[in-house]
Amino acid sequence: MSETTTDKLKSVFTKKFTRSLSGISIFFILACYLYVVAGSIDQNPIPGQLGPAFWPKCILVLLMLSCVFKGFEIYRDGLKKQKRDYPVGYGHAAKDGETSAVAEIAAAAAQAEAAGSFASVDLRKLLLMIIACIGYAFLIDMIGFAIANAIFLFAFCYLVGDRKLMRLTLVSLLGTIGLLYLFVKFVYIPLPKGYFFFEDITLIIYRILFIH
Amino acid sequence: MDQLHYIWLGLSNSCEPFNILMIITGLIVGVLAGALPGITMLNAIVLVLPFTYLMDIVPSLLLMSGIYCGGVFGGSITGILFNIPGDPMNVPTTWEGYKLNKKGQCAKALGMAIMCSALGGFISALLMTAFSQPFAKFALTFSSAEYFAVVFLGLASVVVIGTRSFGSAMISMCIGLFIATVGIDEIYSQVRFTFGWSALDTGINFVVVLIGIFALGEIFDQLSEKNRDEMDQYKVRPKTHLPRLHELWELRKSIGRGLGIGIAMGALPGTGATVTSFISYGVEKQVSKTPELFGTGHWEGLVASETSINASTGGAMMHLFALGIPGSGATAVMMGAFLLHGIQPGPMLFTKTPEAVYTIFMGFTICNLIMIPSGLICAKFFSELMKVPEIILNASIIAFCVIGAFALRNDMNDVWFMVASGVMGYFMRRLSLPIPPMILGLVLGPMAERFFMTTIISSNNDFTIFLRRPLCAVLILIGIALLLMPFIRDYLKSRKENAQMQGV
Repeated sequence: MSETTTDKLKSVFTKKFTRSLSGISIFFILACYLYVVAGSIDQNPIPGQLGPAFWPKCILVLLMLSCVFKGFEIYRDGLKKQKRDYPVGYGHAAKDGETSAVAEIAAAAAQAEAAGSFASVDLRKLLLMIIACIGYAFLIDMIGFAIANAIFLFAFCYLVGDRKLMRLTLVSLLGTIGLLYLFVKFVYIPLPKGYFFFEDITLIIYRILFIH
Repeated sequence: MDQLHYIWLGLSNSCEPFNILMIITGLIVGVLAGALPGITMLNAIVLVLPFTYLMDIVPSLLLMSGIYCGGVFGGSITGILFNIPGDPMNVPTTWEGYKLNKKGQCAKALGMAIMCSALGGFISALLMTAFSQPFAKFALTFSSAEYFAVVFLGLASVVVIGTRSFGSAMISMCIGLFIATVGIDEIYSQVRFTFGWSALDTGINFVVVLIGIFALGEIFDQLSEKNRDEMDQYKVRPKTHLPRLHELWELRKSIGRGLGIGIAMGALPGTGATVTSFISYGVEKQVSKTPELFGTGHWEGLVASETSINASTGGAMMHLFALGIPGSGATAVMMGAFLLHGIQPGPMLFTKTPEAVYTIFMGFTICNLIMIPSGLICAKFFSELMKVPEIILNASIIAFCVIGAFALRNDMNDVWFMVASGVMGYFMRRLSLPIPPMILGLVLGPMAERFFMTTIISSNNDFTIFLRRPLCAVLILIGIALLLMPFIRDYLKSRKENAQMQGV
């Protein structure tokens, strides 16, 4: 493997390798922080008993150990993959004193392969979907399920790409009526009615639909 | 002879038209409730409880048994069709079933799931009828140490569930175990990790997380993909094909193992169908000649977990009747029905009202047979849902999920937790952190903590208690062996590779 190729691979994979280790480090640091928080749980310890913090502390220690093990796994799998994919380069690297660099590249390559990719994700659509769901949850509480659900069904479908307005209007209205009948009329789930005048509007809708 | 007499009497009683009607009604309600995300089989049993006030105890229990049988199977339908397990117990079925669906084998997967569920349930019901009385004596010797060992075994199965990386699986499981500790703990009633937010005091309901991670996470994942084959999945018009005898015969070993594990685990009170399905799937993967195919749409995984789920129902019912202790959430509600009618379930039932007991037993057996046509009808109904355009279907599923999360405790905080879980599920998918170990940790975590702490407190902090009780020690050693299995496999594999290289 030439010097240039090694450098090129290194520059590509080292970033991913660092990113993978960073991800694990976040979990590790979070576990350490929560372990410290767990120390303050037991305000009135009962002598001779393990206390309420014991179990979560065990889990957090296990999480820390798992993070360390995962780091080892990344390195080990990388070495294996390097041996398999670049046998000649690996040999040259050993000769040229580049073993550590090649091992690092290999480890990163394996991790990069294992890690999921965001390259094929439509981030705009993803963000819109998440915002739509958050907005839906917020609106249900504020304006009641009946109105919020009709708005959500229409908005979600429209934002994700369905632009047949007539169909969407029918779906949002009939879908909401169907859900109201199923859950309010038959299963007696007291879905949120909203605050202020929205509660009155919801009650009017219920009366019109004979489900109140 | 007495028992045979009562079995015959029970059979003729359970075939009365009203009793059969109750079984069919229960099955349909159960399958639908199990299949709809957010509405659990347990919810359905609770909802019919008021209707049983006006009935006798036998049709009441038959109605509930129908819901129980149908409910444990129902979650597999949406699992196979939409990758949304109706209940945690249907998660292993979903792993294989949905992949089979993607491969165009949806009809056969649904048929196989129905047949295996019915088979597992039918045989376990027969065994329940035969062994209820002798079982009562054995299970009474169990302590919390044995219960902990069983849950530990369930958690250890994470190593075989944990896709390619043991480390990732462990991290994921620990996250699940940790989330389960949030809120007021059961033993000391102290608040943990709420950071002053009162909404967290009652903890994070695992059903909420489950709905979010599986349903929302999957929808985000599907719809945000740039190069997805749009609508392809929903162009399929699947039917349900029941498997032929030779197809079942080819999978006889997996079915047998699922049946054995289901019956054995069901016989342990408190373990339930969820632990059973995970263990069954894990064991099947371990003994399989093609473990690498698990998770890609493998029949062995599907039939083993599906058989084991329904095979565990007989055991859970057995506890209720033989011990008066509910073996699962569903049987706990059934116990409520007994008490509503002024009857105390337990060993005395067999002497006081043997006719009613055996009528319910035989009704439960028949229920598993009727489940085949009921399952076919309901699966057909859900297959029709696939004709709905993808975006509209997904929007409707989100609405169902929101209602499901809210209805659990009539609490909007659960809706927020569900949305947050959905986002977390999406990122876990994208970052290759396996989701099943997290769910396993979340579901089994509280049980593990309860049994562990109870054992330790009652033994004055003596940790050796787990190794001094023979059954407990055996179960824990099996769990440790499961945990070590990947390392042993790796070691043997590398030794083989080294030997081959030296040979070359």
